[in-house]
Amino acid sequence: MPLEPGRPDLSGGVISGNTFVTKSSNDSNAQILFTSSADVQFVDNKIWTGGSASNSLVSLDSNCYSFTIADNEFQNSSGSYVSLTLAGQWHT
Amino acid sequence: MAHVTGNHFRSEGGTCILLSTVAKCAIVGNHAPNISTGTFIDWSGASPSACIIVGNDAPSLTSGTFVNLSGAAASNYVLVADNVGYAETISQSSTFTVSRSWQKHKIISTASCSGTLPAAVIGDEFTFTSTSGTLSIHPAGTDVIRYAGSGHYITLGSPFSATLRCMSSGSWDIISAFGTVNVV
Repeated sequence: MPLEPGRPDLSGGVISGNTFVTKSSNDSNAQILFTSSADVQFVDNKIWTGGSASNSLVSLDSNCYSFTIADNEFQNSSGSYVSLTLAGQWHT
Repeated sequence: MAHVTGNHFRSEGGTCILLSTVAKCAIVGNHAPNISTGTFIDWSGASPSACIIVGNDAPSLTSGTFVNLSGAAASNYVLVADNVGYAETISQSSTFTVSRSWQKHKIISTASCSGTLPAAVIGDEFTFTSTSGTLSIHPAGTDVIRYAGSGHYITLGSPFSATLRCMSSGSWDIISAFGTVNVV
């Protein structure tokens, strides 16, 4: 079942098996944004743009860590943009 | 540790995976069959302390960058292996050692240089391309390149492309070539 894109903020969560058909042609934010999330699993989803999304399809910000991004399908309608931005894991 | 595995990117350009502040990550088995320009994996904004980039493919990437690791220091733990579409570019006149992990990579020399193969193990295969200068390819130790004989190596002019495969232990066969092979 198609879902609207959102901005999940979770800990220990699994997002799996969804279809995200994004709509915006001028949204300045990521289509799906994770903030302050731990142990995220983003698995087996489809993320497609309906317009010419100007930023990442999926973005994890600097408070995310220990994430798994697996077996997803990313479709940008334009070849100029970023599909997946990861900024959240900085442990040495 | 973060894991990015088995994802499929349908885009025809742009950046598929951007790691802006990630220190440790395994990027394994991701596919971007359509991108011909842009950057498949961009890790230039941070200094990876440890990363594994293995078994990814972007076979149509002809004018872009497979992975940008410009922020990684030589002392970092970085493994880049068996990625289809990845190019190992030897851009300076020098000697170099061919790593077994380069087997699915394009090995491109853009200046005269000399490379030494790893020990010949049955099934191993490497493809070399020379775009400028002369590329010399030496077998390791007592290994031979068939028909060149023991103690000899081959040189490839420019432009040139050749594929060597180990069909029997200690021996390399040239199974495909464009251009002239010189035995030295």
